Amino acid sequence: MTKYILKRVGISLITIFVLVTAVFFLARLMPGGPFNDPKLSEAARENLSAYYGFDKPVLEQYITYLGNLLSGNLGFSTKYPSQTVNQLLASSFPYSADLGIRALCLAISFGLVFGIMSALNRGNGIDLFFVIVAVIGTSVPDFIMGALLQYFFAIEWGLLPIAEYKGFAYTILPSIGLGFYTMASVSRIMRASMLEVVQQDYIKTARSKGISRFRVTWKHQIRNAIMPVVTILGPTVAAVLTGTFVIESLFVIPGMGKYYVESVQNNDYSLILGMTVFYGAFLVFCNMVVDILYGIIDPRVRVAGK
Amino acid sequence: MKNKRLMALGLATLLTLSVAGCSTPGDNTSGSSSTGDVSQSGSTEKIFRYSNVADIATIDPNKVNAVADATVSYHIYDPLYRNVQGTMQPAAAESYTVSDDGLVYTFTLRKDAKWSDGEPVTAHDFEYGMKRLCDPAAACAMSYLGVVFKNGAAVTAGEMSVDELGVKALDDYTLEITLETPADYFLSMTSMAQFMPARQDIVEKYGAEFGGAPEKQVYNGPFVVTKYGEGELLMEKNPNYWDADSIKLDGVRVLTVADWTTAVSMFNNGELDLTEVPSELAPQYEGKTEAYYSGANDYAALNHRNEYLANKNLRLAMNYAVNREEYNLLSHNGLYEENLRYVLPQVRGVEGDYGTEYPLEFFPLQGDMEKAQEYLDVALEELGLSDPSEITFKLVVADSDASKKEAEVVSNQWEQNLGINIDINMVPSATRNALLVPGSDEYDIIMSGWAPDYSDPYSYLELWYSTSGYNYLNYNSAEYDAYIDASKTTTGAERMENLFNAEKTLLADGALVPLQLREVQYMVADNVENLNAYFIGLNYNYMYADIVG
Repeated sequence: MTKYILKRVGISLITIFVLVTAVFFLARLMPGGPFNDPKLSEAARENLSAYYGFDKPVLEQYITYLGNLLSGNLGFSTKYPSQTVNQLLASSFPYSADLGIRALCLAISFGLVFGIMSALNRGNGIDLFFVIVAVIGTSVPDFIMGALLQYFFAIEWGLLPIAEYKGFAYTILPSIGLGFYTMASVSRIMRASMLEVVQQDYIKTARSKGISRFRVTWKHQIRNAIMPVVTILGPTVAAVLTGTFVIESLFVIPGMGKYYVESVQNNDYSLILGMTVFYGAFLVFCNMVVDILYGIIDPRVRVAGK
Repeated sequence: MKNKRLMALGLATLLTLSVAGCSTPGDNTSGSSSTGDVSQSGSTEKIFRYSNVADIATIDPNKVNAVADATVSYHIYDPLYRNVQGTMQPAAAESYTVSDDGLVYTFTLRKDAKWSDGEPVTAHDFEYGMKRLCDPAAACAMSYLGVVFKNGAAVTAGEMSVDELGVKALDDYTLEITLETPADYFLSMTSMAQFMPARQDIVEKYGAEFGGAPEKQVYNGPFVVTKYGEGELLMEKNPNYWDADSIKLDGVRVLTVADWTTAVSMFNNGELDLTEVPSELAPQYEGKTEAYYSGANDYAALNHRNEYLANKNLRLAMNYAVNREEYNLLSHNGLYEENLRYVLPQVRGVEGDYGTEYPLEFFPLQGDMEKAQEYLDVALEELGLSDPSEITFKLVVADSDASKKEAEVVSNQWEQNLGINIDINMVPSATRNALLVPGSDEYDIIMSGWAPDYSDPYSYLELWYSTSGYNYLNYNSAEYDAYIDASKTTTGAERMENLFNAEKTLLADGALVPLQLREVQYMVADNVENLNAYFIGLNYNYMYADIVG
């Protein structure tokens, strides 16, 4: 097991290094550069480039960046001149993560229950209902879902706050808005997986041994059917916890989502890299956890990984 | 067995997390007391609340590069003279004198002004702030504004030491500023964020992090910043401000609301006291909104390096072929104002508005298709073309919804009315911006605009001087240059006449195709008094605002 984990960690580190390198050079290939305000004079552009060290050869900048990265220093943002990228991430990630965890809890718990109920009631009205919910969830984009939730629950009926993030009541609508898609995909995957597992021989064996229907479903069917859900959880956790532009801007949540869009729009090199490194490392970490979880849930993976 | 326990633990964690929903990250700092919610605590604090689409990028005034940030700086700093809706009001300075040649300004500072830490505000702070603006090492984005100072351009370019800049504190309360050329608008520039004072000791103490947090800075204005970050900026009234008695608000909350529709909902729900209204919602709030000119004029810039656009008659044909009324209706629901000249008429002329003193409707509101055809025929002959369809122009536009619509409408008019072809290229705005430099062949037509830095026609006209670093039209007219040169050595009405002639020359050459003057629709809560919108140096002035009832 230790060897298995060490191998995963090693691969993860290499992945992050490749990612940083690729993004570092790609960002500098984008047309425009970070100081593209048409009002800036040539002298101002040069002074700014020198201030941020962008006037040095790209290779030198790269080595400096890697050095700083190793000590955890992500540099100063060009858009927010007195703030470091570390500072920006530190103040926005807690909001995104808080919202993301709430959304995930909703999504996973409801998604699993819906998927299981749907599969157990295959073909009847209950199944149809959950399938429709899942189709809506996967096909309605979050900006529509979020806007609808906000319009009805907050503006029309006045049941919940419109926006901002100042307490439990404020978290409900954005959590649903953010989690709905994930819930729908979890429920669809779970349903399909349940239906596949139920045809396996070991289920028939268990049933023929006279084990109760409940025990078979709980101990054999769900346990085996949950694997595909765990698979999608890695990337999903990383994506949901590191902020989404639409839901955050709609509900005025000061999370990280806006920086994905802003940093690229402004060619803010340090912020682009900071976001990429952070998101990338988080994604790699989540996938690693999933890999390890496989090992725990399914002993066959553990054996194969040796 | 072990696995089961693990799963149970995981499930328990999930449940705990989902119900432990009582505390959110900002709970401690953005509680009800600081948001001005009077109903909860029964307090009568007067907090003015408004929003911006993006976070305030900096609270360090010398480094300001956006109007929303400049607005904050205006309220947390005190300039020499304060521009209050176009009137220059003594602020940190009590009075000033100008030398006869218009070059040397001597300001006398008030002696009772204090920084938020109790230190006196001196002429040295202003000298340091203005030198910092021009200092290459400080790398202030808007350093080009410093070219107004003697040696400003050379200092900014690193060719001269900062000590040679024409800004000097003669003693603690006397500041002498020498200009490069006479500039009637200089006094109004002193109100800009970039010309605010800075405390050398504090700047040096925090270095690059100066202004990165409320406590890493000092303030000499009507308000001080108490929170900066997590999508909001909070200000409190500054008790040390010399004119604190005139300040009625206890505080200000500036919230980042990226979506104007959300902001309008929050406004309707009483959570904001001021909101802008996006044009698609404007008809719904007709009668409730007010509007102000943002100062921006938008135009289709023609690249004179293109062999066809080098032809003046063709450029004029393109100007007359545009029906600006229809354009405004189709691209902005008629909410902007059609621009029939180049300079925003609301900027300051000699005594009053430039547009009132020098009225001009150069191009007809609905265009003039006959004239356009005449110019086109002459142009085709001069260019040796038999059919206008032989002409194809590459038009570059930033990829926002609004710009896209503008480009499509105007291109359609040219294609319909002149028979030329337009090839629209949408690019990210950073890419578009990078093209706005002289000598580029990457575009034939580029949709762009300009917002003035100070209230004077020169702010718009300086762009197209033949050697200007902004001349992306590649316009080169000896006549135009002569008028601009003459404006630099004259003052008052004579100077304004020169600028007016320059504007007329530009239009008579059809150098660009003026399209619109942007107007911003906004709503203010009924109980807010004395709030003003303005188009230069800030967008909203809430310094003297009050919340009544």
